[in-house]
Amino acid sequence: MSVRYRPVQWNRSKVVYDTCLGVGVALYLLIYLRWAPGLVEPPLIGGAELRMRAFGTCAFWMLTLILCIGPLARLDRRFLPVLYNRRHFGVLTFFVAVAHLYTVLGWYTAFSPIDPWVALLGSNTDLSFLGFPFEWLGIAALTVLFAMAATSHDFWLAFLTPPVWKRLHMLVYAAYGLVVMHVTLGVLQAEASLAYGAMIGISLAVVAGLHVVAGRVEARRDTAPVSDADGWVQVARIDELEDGVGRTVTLPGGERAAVFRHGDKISALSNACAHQNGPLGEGRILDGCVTCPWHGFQYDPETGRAPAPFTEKVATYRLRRDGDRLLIDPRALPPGTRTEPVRLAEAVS
Amino acid sequence: MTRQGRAPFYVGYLKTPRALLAFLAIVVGGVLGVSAVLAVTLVVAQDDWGDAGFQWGDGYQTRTGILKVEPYPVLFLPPDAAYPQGRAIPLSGEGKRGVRDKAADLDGKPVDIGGFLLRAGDRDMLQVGGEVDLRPARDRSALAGFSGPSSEAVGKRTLRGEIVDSKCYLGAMRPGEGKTHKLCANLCLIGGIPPMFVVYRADGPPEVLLLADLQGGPVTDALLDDTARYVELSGTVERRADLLVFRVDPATLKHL
Repeated sequence: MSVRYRPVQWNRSKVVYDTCLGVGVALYLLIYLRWAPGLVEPPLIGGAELRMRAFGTCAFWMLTLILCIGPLARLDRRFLPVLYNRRHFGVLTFFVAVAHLYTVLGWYTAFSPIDPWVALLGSNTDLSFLGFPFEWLGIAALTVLFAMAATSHDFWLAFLTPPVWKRLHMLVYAAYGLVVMHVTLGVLQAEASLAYGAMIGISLAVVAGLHVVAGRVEARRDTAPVSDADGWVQVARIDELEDGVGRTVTLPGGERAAVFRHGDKISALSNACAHQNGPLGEGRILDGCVTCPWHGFQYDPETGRAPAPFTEKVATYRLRRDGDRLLIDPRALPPGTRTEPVRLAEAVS
Repeated sequence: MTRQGRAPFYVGYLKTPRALLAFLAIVVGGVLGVSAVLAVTLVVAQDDWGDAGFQWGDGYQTRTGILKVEPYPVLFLPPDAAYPQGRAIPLSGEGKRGVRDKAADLDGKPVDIGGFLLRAGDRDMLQVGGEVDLRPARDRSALAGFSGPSSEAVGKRTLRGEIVDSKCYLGAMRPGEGKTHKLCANLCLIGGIPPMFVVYRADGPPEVLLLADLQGGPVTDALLDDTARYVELSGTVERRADLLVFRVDPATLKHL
């Protein structure tokens, strides 16, 4: 959270995260370019071609990992620290992909009187499926990655609004699809080795499999709302609410609310964090504030407002008790609206 | 009832709970380990694209022979003990450029040529440049009256293979063939590098033929869409010294 924009709001977690990213990329490239070629004598392909493949496969591997982080964090919250700085992971992936493009421009389109970009986009005119200019697919994927990297900062999140920003960044799946086709209609058409085909197949299976499993688990968590005659929805029995821990409630229409017991009071607000739609209901109460599990954005549970001087706010919901049952009004109040909490002392009395 | 409150809760700007550190260390170590295995696998398991390459170790080379410009510039050396039919060395310029312009006035004449050799198998190519470059021969005595090869008809043929640019295939790049190289192959061919037809054989090294149109002239423009594909072409084959020339009708081309 910040009241003013900085290039990067460094903290210890981000430094460690980025160090791990840097070490990982450096390790992969060093092994690919320096160590592994020595295992086969003589080297099987040329040096420039090896660099193209090193950067290209590294970017693909990074993109695969990025797409696995989301569902893994849904399945096991211990992966949330990996999600925390995922944007830096994405930006670094973009730069590795740019290095791949740079090596292509510096070799395949170099030493020619034709402009490298004209050559890259215009040299292959075979539009049949197997002959399709796979370079176009790579450029399209890189364009998406560029749009995501360029708008990764919180300034753009606020400027574009979270829903638009989120939609833009969901294009990562389109980029992944384009990269899969780029590899399939590119190097897989040239290499008889099974290694590259296996890489694509395993990546697709893992990414798709994790998303399907996470989706099923998520769907199972979404219990059908039970409404009273007046339309209020049952949340839980009062004694089921754990102090300081959120509970997610699915409302008619599919919206979700996050209900928190904080001390002897119970409040409800929107489940979607104003920052990146993180699941507030999976958060905790820290320092008296509902704290998002994704990036630690905080809100007063009774008003849905971030503590001053921060300005984020989310919708709130009215609660009432019915015996030992807690009920929620499914009609969201405008973001930042103060609501009267249900008092635990009254509820259990 | 599960007690979520007891599970460690991570907030990026706060100290990471000790209980999570071991898990995260395992995750990071696992990803780094898989990355290392992946990098080694992808390097070791890729195809072997042979030992074609520039012969930089041989240093700057000069040759004296008869230059023929059609269909593409080739230097022909007189027969000797090692090459009783004579020797053909296709020529390229530096980068993705041919030498047709500088060779045009010397067609059929004795020339000195200097440059660096490329070699794939027993097929050489010379990248022309440097001090000698391409010039009229200063000492014709080495030719011993050799005036160029005669063309010997081999016959009509329908062959299956790949259209490549000769410079990359003969060693400027590895791989200098296949889909990933198509962009470069087309740039080379547009620049004037001679196109060749590579017929892959299960029982030995590929057969490499210089491509020409039916009249024996250049055929590049008609083939650009079909480089780097496995195709079938029909035409007539003739032998010039140790070089096979495949005169093709582009209309017979079929994708396989």
